[in-house]
Amino acid sequence: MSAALALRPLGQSLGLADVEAASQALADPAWLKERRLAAWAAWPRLAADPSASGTRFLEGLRQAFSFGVAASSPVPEAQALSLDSAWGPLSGLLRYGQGLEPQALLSPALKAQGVRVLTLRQALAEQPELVRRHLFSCTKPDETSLAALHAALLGPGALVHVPRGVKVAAPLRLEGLAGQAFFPHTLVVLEEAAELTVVDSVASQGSEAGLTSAVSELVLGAASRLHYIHHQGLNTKSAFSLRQRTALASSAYLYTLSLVSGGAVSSSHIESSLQQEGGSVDLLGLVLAKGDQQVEIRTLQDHAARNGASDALVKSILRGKARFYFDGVVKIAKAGQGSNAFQSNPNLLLSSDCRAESIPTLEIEADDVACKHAASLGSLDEEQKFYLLSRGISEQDAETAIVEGFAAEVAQRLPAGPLQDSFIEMLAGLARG
Amino acid sequence: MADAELREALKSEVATIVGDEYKYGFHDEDVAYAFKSEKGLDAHKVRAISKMKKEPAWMTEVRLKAFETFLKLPMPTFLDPASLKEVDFDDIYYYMRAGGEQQKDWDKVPEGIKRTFDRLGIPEAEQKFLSGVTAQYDSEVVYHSIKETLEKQGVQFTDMDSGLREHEEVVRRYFGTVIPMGDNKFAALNTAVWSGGSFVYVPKGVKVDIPLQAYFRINSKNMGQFERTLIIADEGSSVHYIEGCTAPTYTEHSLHSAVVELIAMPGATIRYTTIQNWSKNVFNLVTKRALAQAHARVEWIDGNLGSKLTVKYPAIYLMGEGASGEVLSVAFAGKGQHQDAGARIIAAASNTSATVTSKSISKQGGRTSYRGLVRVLPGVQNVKVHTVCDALLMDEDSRSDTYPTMQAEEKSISVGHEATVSKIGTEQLFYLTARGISEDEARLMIVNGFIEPFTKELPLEYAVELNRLMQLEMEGGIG
Repeated sequence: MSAALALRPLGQSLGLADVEAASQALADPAWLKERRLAAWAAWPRLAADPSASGTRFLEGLRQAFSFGVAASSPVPEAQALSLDSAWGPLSGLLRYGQGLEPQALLSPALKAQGVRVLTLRQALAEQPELVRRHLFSCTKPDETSLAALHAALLGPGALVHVPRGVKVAAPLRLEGLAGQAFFPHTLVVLEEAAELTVVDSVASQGSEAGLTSAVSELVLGAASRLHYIHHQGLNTKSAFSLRQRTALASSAYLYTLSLVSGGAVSSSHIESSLQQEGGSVDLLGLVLAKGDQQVEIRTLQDHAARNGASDALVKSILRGKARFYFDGVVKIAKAGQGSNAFQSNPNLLLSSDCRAESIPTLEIEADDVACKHAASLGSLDEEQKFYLLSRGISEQDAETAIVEGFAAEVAQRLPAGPLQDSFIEMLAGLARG
Repeated sequence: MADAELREALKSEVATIVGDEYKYGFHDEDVAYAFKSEKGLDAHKVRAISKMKKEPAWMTEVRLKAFETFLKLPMPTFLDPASLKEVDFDDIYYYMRAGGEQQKDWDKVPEGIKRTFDRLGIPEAEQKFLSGVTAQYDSEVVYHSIKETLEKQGVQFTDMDSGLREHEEVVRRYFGTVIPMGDNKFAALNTAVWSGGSFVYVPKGVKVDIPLQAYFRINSKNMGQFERTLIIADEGSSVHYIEGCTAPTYTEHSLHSAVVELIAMPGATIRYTTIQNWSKNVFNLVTKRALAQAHARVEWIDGNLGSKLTVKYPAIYLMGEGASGEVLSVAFAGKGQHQDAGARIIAAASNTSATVTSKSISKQGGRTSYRGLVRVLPGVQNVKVHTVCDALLMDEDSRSDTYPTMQAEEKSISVGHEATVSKIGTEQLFYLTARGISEDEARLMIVNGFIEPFTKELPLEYAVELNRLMQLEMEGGIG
C-alpha cells in the first residue's frame, strides 16, 4: 500500500467507529456489544490514570499510544498452512490477524475427537453459550486501561474447547498476525481430564510500529492438563501487553511458558489461580531482550485452596540497553494449607548498559506450607566458563553454551518429544542473540 | 573534662532528666501556652523545643524547615493504610519529656511488664530505668570508669543534645547528611522535634574495644520518643554501639520515630546492635542508615520483639571501593503485632559486598514482613550482595510476607536473594519429642536454633537474656 497514508496517534485515531467495526467483525451478540461499549466508556478514565496502566513502562506505553496509525494496514497475502511446522507435527493450526481472513487446518483426528478450534466469530455463532460462560470469566474488562481498550476493540480471537476425557497428543498452534492495533483473545476451555498442548504466538505483519493488547483466558476443568506456550515475537517497534489468567479446578495441571523476544515495550501478566484442592502449576517465562527493548513480566501464584503446588521460573537474558522488570507474587490464603510454592527469577546481564529489576514477593497466611523463592542478578558464571575453557573450548563457544543452557532450562518441564526438541533448538537460536 | 566539670555536667543532665521547670523557662508565653496545650504540633511548638534546649539558630531553622517538610510529605504508601491509621499526629505529646519524667509512677507500669522484669532477673533499679520511671543513676561508677578510658582515646560519647552544644561544628557538618529531612515523613518529623539519642565520634585509628551501651550512659535521657543518633567513626577506627536492651520497655508514648545516622570513614568499622522491645501499644517507625566509605564496614545487628507496628529497614550505602556491610536481623511478631522489617543495600562504588540475613517468627496472628532493597548503581563493577530470609510460622493465624526488590544495571555483579517460609518441621519435632523432650521445650529449642545466627553475634549477657525472653514469648507469658 502507499506510504502516503495519513498517520494519526493511536489514542486519537481509535474511535467509536472502530469499536463498531470490531463489533461487526465478530457479529457481536447483544451482551458482547454492551460490554464493548461499557469498556469503551471506561477507557478514557483508565487511560488518564497512571496507576491503572498495569505497567512499569508507562513512558513506553505513552509512546505506543502516540504511534502513527495508518487508516488501513497493508494486507499480507495468505500463505498455505501446513501441519508440519518448526514446532514439530501439529494437530491443528489456526491463523488469524488484523485485516486477514482467518485460515484453519485441523487434523482429522482432532475433529474426530470432538475438539473445537474456532475463531471467535465462529464460536459466537456456533457455541454462543460456551463463549458467554467463559469469555471474561478469568479477567475483567476494566482491570487496566489496556484491558479496557482490549475489551472495547476485542477481536479477532480463538476458542479452543476440549471435551471431557479427550487427550490431544500433538500441539495445536494459534498464530496471531498483528497489524497496527491488534486485540486478540485466546480462550481455552478444557473439560474434566482433558489434555492439550497449545502454542500461541503473536508476530507483526510488517515492520511498522503497532500496539497489541492480548488476553488469554485458560479454564481448566478437574484433573485436566494444559501446556500453554505463548510467544511474543513482534517487531521491535511495537508495544505489547498480555493478560493471561488461568483458573484451575481440582487436581488440574498447567504448564505455561511465556517467551518474549520482540516488542519495543512488552508487559505480560501471567496469573494462575488454584481455586480447588490439589491443582498444580509450572509457570515459566523467558525474556530475550537487547537494544532498547523494555520488558516486564508480572506473575501471580494464587493459592486459594488446599494442597496446591506452584513453581515459577522466570529467566531473562539481557543485552545492549535492554531493561527487564520482574514482579512476582506468591499468595497463599488461609484456606491454602498444605500448599507448596516456589518462585525463582535468575537474570543474566550480558552488557553493562542493560538493567534488571526483580521483586519476588511472598504473602503467606497459612502456616502448613513450604514456600521458597530466590532471585539473582548477575553475569555469566565464571566457574562454569572456566570449566569449559579448561576443556579446550573457545571463550566464545563457552559463553554461547552457557547462555543456551540457561535458556533451555525453561523447556525442561515440557513432555519429551518433537515439541521439546524443536523448542530447545529455537530457544538456543534466540538466546545466541 | 575534669572531674568537677564532669560532675557538674552530670548534675545538669540529671536535672534535665528529672525535669526542672524553672530552668527551662516554662514561663515564656509561647512555651507556657504550648505546654498547656500539650498534644499536637505546630511551628510554635517546634520553635519552643529548640528554645528550651538553647539551640543555635541554625538548628532552629533546620527544625522549622523539617516541620514544613513533614506537613508536605505523604504517609508512606507501601504499608497497608489501615496499619498506620491509628497514628494520630495531633494526639501526641511532642516534648513533654523535658518536664514529664518525674510524674511517672512505678505503680503505673503494667503488671505483665513487671513480671517479665522479675523473670528476667533484672534488679529493680534497672527495671525502673527501663520502664522510664527513673534514669539509671546506679551505674555512675561503671559509667565513670568507661568514660575515662574513652576520654583518653579521644572518643566522644554523649547524648545528642550535649553533642550539639559541645561539638556544634561536627554536628552541623554531618547532621542530616545521611538521612535528609525530606527522606520520609517520619524522618522529617524526627528532624523537627528530635530529642535525646547519642552522639559518638571516634577519632582516627582508635579502636574502641568495649561496646558503647546507650543505656549505661548516666546522661542518657532514657529512650526518647524522637531519638536522634549520629555516630561518626573516623578513618581506620572501630566502634560497637549497643542500643536498648532485651527487656520490655514500658512507655506511655504511642509513637516512636528515631533517626540514626552512621558514617564510617575510610577503613572504619561500625557495628550497631539494637534489640527493640517496646511495649505492645507502640508504633515504632524508625529510619536507620549508614554510609560506608572506602574499605569501611558497617554492621547492623537488629532485633525486633516489641511494639505494635515496627517499620524499620536499616540501610547501608556502600560509597567507597572495598566497602562492605552486613545486616543481621530477627523479628518476632506475636498477637496483634506487625514487624515490617528489612534491609536496604545501595552499592554506589565498585568492589563492594554485603550480606543480609533476616529471620522472622510469627505467632498467634502476628505478622512479619521483610521489605528489602538491593540496588547497584550504573557504572559500578564487581559487587556481591546476598540476601537470605527465613520465616517461621508458628500457627495458622499468623502471616509472613517477603517483598525484596533488586535493581541492577551492570553485568559484573552478583545479586542474590533467597527466602523460605515454613512452619516448624514435624520431623524435627518428632525427633526431639522421641527423646523425651516435651513438645513446648522442643519448639523453643527449634526456635532458638532458628535465630542462632543472630544470637551468636550478641554480647553474652544479651544473648542469654534474649534466649530467656524468647522462652517467655513462646509461652505467651508477656503482657
